[in-house]
Amino acid sequence: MNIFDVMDEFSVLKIGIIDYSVGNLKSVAKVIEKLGVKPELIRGEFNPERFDGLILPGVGSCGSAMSFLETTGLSKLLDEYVNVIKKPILGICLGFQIMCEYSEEDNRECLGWIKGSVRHFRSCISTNMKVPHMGWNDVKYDSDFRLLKGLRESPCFYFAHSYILPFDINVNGMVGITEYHIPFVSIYENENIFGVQFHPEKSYVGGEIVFRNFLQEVKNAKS
Amino acid sequence: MLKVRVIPVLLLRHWGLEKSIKFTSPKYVGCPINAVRVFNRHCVDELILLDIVATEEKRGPQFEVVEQIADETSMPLTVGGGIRDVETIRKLLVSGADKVVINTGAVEIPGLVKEASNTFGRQCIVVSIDVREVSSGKYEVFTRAGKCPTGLDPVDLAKKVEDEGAGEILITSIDRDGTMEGYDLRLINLITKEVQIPVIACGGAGTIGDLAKAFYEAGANAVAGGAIFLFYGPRRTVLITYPTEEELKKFFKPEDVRIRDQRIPVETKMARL
Repeated sequence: MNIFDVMDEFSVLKIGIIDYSVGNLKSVAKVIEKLGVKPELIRGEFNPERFDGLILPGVGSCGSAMSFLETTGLSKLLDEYVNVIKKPILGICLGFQIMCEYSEEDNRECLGWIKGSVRHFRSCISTNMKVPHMGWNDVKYDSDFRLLKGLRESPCFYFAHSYILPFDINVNGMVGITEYHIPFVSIYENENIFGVQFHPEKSYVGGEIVFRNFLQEVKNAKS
Repeated sequence: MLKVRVIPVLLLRHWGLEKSIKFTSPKYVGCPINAVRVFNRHCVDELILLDIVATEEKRGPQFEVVEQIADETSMPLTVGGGIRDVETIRKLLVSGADKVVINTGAVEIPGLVKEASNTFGRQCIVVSIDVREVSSGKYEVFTRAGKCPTGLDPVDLAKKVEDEGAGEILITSIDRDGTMEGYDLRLINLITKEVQIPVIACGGAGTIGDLAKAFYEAGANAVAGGAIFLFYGPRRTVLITYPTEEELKKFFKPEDVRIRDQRIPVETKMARL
């Protein structure tokens, strides 16, 4: 498949990236563009029917992101998009964490789509360790993740975070695990909800494949 | 398992790259955009770009350079030089940096590290500490590109900025800079054992063996270098290189080395069919 096929493949999709106005969305937007879609930045109210796929990127802190979503009215619209219209959404790093019920970071109630609470590494384990978890680590999984199609076993991605969703077998969805002193959820899929703790936009070709798989899911959901 | 990070550090003077020896006698080594393109092709674990004259020239970073580099690459990019307030950091992040390095500002501007960390998150803030051995076994922190003695002990400063919210420490031995004679392992170890945040070792790397020593013997979480990735041979001809997985595995345990191509290898694909 050459680059023109790819561009043709996804060019009809309407992809939105939520902009919490605290930093670098460029790298995410750049990969999506490379795959043939010009993403739209969402900074305020939007029509959930209009988008085929949404991305919650991973910048800032939980408190600032949640405050932004609440004051702009985005959290309600996102809820409608995810739970009523049921279209695909991908959360990255912090964007994945705020999909959970609660986060210890800034003590915030979050969007609540994923069962479980986000916690700091140090409140999960008392060993002597370096936090943030910073750098390349591998993802272990034993189910067929749609996001990981085409990737070798235990692919390696770039991480940069201090908070985690600890691994719990009762989680409502499919999870893959990364170990850094303790196992935590590094990839999550449940119907139209996708989340990754790592930064695919910083993980070269492996990350690009994750985005391509997400766009494929968006396309499948549309047709 | 978390892998070792091998990080090229590029020193920027205006639109050119330089490499110094012991922070003096800089040599021009080329165009930053070209160099970064090459490192991007090598899929480097991360890249640090430092503007070494911003503070001296009393100005902020060159956002256009950062923007051009970020537009062309997809690597984790850390940028430093001339950062004295939070607004500058915001502009650097918008230009495409993923993390920022604060050096002189961390010593001279009270509250800067704390405010930066609260605003952008700890994982975004790297504090760089440049150190000279001033008398046998005694270390001192120097700011302003190694020109200004501070009287501070590097371990004390590292602990202080950790408390203030730094996410990583970049520790550089000025005495070893550019010499390619190996890291100051004692200095690195002093820092790594005292802080609970990742430490990036810098200054003196000449071989992959040096990188491994900093990682296994001194406890560094990441290993950085300049000359080792820029020069080739005894005459220091400029040639940009980066170790392959195989080269790293001669000195590092295989489980500590990142696999760069994440795609299913072609042979396996065939076998599966």
